[in-house]
Amino acid sequence: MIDSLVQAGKLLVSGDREVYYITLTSLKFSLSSVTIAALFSLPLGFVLGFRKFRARKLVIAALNTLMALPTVVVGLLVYSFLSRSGPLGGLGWLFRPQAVIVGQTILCFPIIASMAHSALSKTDLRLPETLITLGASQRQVFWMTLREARVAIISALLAGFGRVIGEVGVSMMLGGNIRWYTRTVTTAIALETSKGEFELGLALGVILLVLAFLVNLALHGMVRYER
Amino acid sequence: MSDKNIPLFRLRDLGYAYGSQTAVEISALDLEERQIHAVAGPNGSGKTTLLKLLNGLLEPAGGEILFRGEPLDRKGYARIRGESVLVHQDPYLFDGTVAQNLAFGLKIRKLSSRLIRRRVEKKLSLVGLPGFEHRRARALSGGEKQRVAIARALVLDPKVLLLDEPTANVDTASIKLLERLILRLADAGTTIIFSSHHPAFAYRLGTRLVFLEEGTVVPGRENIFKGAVENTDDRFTYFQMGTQTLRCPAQEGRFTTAVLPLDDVILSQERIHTSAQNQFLGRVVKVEKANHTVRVSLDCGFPVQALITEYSVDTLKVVPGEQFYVTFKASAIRLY
Repeated sequence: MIDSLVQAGKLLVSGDREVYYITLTSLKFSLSSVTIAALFSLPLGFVLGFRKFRARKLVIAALNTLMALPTVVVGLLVYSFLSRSGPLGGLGWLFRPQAVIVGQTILCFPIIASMAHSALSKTDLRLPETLITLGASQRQVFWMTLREARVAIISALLAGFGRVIGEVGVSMMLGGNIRWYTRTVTTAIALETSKGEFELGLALGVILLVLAFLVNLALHGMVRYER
Repeated sequence: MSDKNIPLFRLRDLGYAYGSQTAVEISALDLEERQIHAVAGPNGSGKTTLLKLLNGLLEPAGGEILFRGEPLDRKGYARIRGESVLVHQDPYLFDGTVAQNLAFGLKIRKLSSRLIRRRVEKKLSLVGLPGFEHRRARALSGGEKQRVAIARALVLDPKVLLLDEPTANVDTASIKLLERLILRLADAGTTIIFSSHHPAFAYRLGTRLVFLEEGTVVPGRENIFKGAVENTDDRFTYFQMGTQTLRCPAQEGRFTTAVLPLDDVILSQERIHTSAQNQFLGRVVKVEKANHTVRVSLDCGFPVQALITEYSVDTLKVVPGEQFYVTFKASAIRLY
């Protein structure tokens, strides 16, 4: 255990190019998928939080169920769509970064939408009225509401990030763990473990944790806490 | 400019309900421009709902609102946005500085930052908060928050300002300042519609009073006289309106409004000698039946209304054109 910590430190300090590469690949995949998922899930969370419509409860229940979706199931599903014989096979995305990002987007979408919904449904009802009476358009109401609930929204995004940075099922099935291309920290850990290189695997795990910690720190640093 | 006869707001069979609970049901109400309308009534009488309907924040369930003669529909909402702002009771301030709060409405209207800074500064001193730009909005006191919210509305130079319970949870100094501010805005031509269950504030400021009860407009049960204190001796305060003077209980103050309940007015065919200190000769202008009582309007050099029974109307032969003595006690009058 201590050895792996030491090795992790060594890997980080030594500047092993491959370690940096897979770390950056992990970060790239996760941030891309969280960003894409946010584009759809935040508006959905807003609609669920403020509009009353018939299927609302059904959608919320569905989102909460999807939060428990196993990563390999998502991997399998996207695989069947993107494989050469699948309906989207023509795109040729399988075993490329695009496929991993699609899979991870599907993974983090429900958790971001659901958490955004619960954050936004708690916002003060006077807020939208205040914005409207001051002349804000629908879009401006949306952005100001996100801004006012920004701490909770950041938490939702980080929960989504946490879901995808540590997952292995989608990255492995859709990315294929291709060296210098789609290998991420988690697929590398899986590979090293299967080779019996437990120390190296653990060291990569430590790096993953440090990475997640830094991203959390950076995002929370972006919001100024008040009160 | 619009026709003088078209009211700012005209309400027809307006209805609104929360679920099955009727909140507002107004068959007819006109609100004129350049007036200070005080909407008075107990809690839950529909004051807030009415203001929100007038601001287009709620959509009527039935009936219609005409704004300057045009229906307040989808197109109407866009028009009202440019002219009218509502300030909530216990207003919501955005997370950030006072200046950021005030700037919001101007930023979305794409004004230059120099112009925004100038307007923010001007309106902050108007509400008595000069130099508050960089204070955290949510750290302010209740009265200060209220004034920031009013300034946030005023930077947009609205023609109609809707204030929901501006005197609730506010210190006396803020109320005084608010009073002067409302009078100043009205002088400059702004129409002000405010709700209040603070009678002194509503009576003093309102040039028009709307009484709500269970969502319906009810006729006022009081005469409201606008005037000024002539002088006060050790017996009475003399309240002057035009050529006539009322004797009121002696008290110090710069009152502008005298309030006399309709039931405290006595009509008689001849001059009567009683302890009542106010007696005027007046001519009947209008006689209206209301439930089991009759509302009689008279002209005594100033308009007075009295609420009497149908029996009295018959025995005294109260009909328009006849002259009667109007008598009421000094102690029935409240000064504001």
